[in-house]
Amino acid sequence: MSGVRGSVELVDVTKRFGSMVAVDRLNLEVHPGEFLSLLGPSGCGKTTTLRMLAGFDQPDEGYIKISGEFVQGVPPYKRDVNTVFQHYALFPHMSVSENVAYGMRQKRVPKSEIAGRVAEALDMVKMSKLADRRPKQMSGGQQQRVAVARALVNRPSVLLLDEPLGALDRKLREEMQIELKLLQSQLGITFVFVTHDQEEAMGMSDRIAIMLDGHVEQLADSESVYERPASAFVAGFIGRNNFWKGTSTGHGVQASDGTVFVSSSPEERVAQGQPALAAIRPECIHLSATDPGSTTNVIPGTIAGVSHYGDVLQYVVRTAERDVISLLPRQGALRLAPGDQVWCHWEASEVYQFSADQADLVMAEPALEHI
Amino acid sequence: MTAATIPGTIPVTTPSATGGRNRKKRDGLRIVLAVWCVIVLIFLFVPIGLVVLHSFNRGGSFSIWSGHTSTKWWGTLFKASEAWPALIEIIIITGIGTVLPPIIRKVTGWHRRIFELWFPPIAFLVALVIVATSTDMYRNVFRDKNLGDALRNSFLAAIGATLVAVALGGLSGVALARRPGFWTKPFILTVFLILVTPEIMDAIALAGWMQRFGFGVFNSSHGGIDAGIFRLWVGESLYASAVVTLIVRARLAGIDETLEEAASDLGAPPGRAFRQITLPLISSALVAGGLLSFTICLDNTIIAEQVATAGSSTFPTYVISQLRSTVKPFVGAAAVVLFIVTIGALAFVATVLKRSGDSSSQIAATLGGG
Amino acid sequence: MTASVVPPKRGRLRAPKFLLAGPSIIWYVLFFVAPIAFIVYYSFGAKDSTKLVPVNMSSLSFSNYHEAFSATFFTTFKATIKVALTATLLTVVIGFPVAYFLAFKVQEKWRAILLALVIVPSFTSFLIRTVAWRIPLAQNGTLSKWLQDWGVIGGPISLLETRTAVQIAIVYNYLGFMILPLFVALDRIEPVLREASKDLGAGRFATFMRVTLPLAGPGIAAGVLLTFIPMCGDYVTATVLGGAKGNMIGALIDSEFKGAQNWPLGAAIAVMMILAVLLLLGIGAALIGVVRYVLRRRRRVTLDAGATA
Repeated sequence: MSGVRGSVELVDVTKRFGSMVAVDRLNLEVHPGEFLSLLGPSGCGKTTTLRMLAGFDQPDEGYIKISGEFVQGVPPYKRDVNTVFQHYALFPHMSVSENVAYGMRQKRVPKSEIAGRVAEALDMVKMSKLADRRPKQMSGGQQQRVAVARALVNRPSVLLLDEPLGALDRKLREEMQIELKLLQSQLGITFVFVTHDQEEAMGMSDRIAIMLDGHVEQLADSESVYERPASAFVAGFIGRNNFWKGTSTGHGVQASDGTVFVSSSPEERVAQGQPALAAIRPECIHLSATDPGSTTNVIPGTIAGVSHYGDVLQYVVRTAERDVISLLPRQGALRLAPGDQVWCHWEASEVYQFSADQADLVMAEPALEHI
Repeated sequence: MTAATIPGTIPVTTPSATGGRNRKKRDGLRIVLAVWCVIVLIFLFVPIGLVVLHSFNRGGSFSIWSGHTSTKWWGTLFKASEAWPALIEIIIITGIGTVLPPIIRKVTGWHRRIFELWFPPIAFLVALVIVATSTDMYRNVFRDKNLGDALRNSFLAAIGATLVAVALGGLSGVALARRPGFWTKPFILTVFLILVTPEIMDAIALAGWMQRFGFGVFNSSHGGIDAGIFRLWVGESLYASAVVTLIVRARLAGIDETLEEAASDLGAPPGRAFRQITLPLISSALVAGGLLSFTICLDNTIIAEQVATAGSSTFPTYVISQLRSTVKPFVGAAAVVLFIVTIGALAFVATVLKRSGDSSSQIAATLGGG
Repeated sequence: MTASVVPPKRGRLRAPKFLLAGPSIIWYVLFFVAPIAFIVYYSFGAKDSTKLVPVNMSSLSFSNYHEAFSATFFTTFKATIKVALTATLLTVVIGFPVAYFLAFKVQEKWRAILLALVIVPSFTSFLIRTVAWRIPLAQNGTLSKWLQDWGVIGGPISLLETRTAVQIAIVYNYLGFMILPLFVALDRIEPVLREASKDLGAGRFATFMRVTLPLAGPGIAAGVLLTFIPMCGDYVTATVLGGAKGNMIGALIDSEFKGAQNWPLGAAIAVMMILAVLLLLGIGAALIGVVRYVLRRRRRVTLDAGATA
């Protein structure tokens, strides 16, 4: 796999800033032409990782290969990668077309060729009309497009994007997501995309590397990280989850509030009798107004709140120890009002079990959160 | 997670094998620049070091080193029996001013940040004024009366000019940042002109102006203060107030006006909003600008040379007059005293700005004129 | 610290907008604008020592300006400009690497200390710092001794009372005031812009020439203004170190006013000095404009119509 243009490989990479370990023995492999997202909360080391790929920071330990070549000590200007910066970093003293031409000028591309490629790149991001504008005279979205054109025009083997859409409003961001994804599949260039927005990562990426505390928690495609989260952190970070703390029973979890979770696919990583977490996604929690008559995978409570989100309804159910969130499709859902007695229940196949190591991390967050 | 080694790679032959510490590349340019920086700093400090050294010269000339050290010229400048008590008095009063606000806050719980900021410099000035005017001690501190008077005049002129500059500059800085209008451009232009006009131009212009139109103020003494001191207050306040104006404006430009709007939204009338919101915001700029003005005025030579009268000659004009004959080492001693005052003021400026959240770069920007 | 531009709010109960600046406006008109206007006015008069203000304004003429152009004055004029230009150039050349080092190449904790070390000498007494140069520059002074010890020169030298002495001391006196604005200009360049340049394939030198230097341009101009103009009028340095040979225009104005009591001539020289400074700055600005135009021409990217359409 490695040795091919556009591949990226990080092996046991560690980066410290003073006593703070930003990236901790990170291993990651990016395939040529892949759209890979580095996803994680702020401070997880994703931006540092990107900066090491660009060459702005050097790893303290471990090594990095880009297109099969070691890049240890290779300065940024000699690397065959380009970056789209978080706040665009367009040169304020140059026009749009001068900004885009900058990289080619450094590589002594003939003038005649520069003009054509600049026009092509600006055309690609639909910015041809503003070629003579200064960055300050443009909106954030327009600057964003120019920044993408400025990086892509150099035809790098890998494009690094550092939260490029973070400063845009929601609608514009969604448009740009689609455009970027289209561009990437047209050009076939490897994209390494840093974001803290899980929806963005899920929607655009071929694979997602979910990072925490300087290492990769899980590296998989969108479906896998959602369906089969490798850790409680991933389960809580991708989509949402209701967590219970308890003890592993070997084939499930006995929660501290008495609820018994039985899983159809028992988790072998958590030994029987050890502290464990059980998790159920809100959309997998069904509500019924009558007691389903089961002793497992059920928890009684009362409706504390109802929110309407277009095609789905969100119920907050107050149970003995905590609030449980349930998301149900509007059609066919029971009409429940606050104060109603309900039973939450779920399928055994929807029960996740994790070790309790990350309990504080995932359970510290309040149950009531925005979508 | 996948294993560290991927088929097809040969990590064994990597330049920096897995797990090993990667060597940092030496930045040659950085070393060259560091050396250059040190050389320049030495260049900047050598003359100052020479002043300190030569104030301890045993010989009779400031310029020529006799080869021997002696404190005799300090003795010529100061009367030790009087100077030490005066120094101790200044230190005590300033010290009280510095520790009093925290004590007041602890005891009474009454807290106004602006007062804490202003207390130490005001205490220092009060100490100077007490020592300089109210007792006889001051006159006796100096054995050399001419130099003593010159130093006193320098301080008196600088204090007055600073007060004028802080008042004028504070108001116009706020006006520039918060009440922009048709007048802004010509006003800013005037401020910049004051900053860049060669001082000799201001100086001769003011001297002629005051000689022609004395307004009864600049030609005769009032309240025991020489007319020349009034002239110096005016002359030295021009440049200083321009500096304060720019510093205050820069401080407010960085702060959104919504703060004041929020105050009036919460029911504060304009006057109170100014006192409770704007003034605390610019207090650090006022202290910094004031102390900068003080050091600039203390050092002012050209304006003083043209504007001052015989009775109000300041330390710089005294030194200039000494240049015609041999400069005595006690001039160096006086200069060292001024150095210490200036460095104290600068250190205080830096502390105030640092406490109001500025980085060292921002402090440098402020000192560089906003 | 970029000033966020807040659109002026037209409040209902606002007092006249310039009321707060009123005291300053009065002060500046009274003690800056009017006195300087009078100097310009005096420059057309004639000397009259019998009056308190020794100027006779009964017949206005350009005769003082003629005199200001006479050989003696003109030589001093040229020498002053030469000293000031040389010193400005030297302070930039000496100061820029220091500012660059402080802005980009030094750790934060060291930066504060080094900045303080640059600032402190600049704010200690200008006059005393100048007087201090008499020590190394004097006959048998420190510099002379060192140079003899190292065998650079045969006998004792005295630089005192020469233009060289003035030149050295002026560079010294204004170096700090050059380094500060240069540092501020460089420090305000967002680091990510320099990173972006390197990311796009520009090496150190190219990044410096195409990104750092153009963005620092306004700061460099500010530094030049803050040093060149006061240098032209500086007469402390010339008075303390220059003697008769190192005379500068400021000292000439001073001697006309205080010594010869010839106010009209002094005023005319002062006005000429200001005009000369403005002229030089105009030439400088024009040169910069031309260079920028040429650079922009070279940088320009003309998109062919076909691709744009």
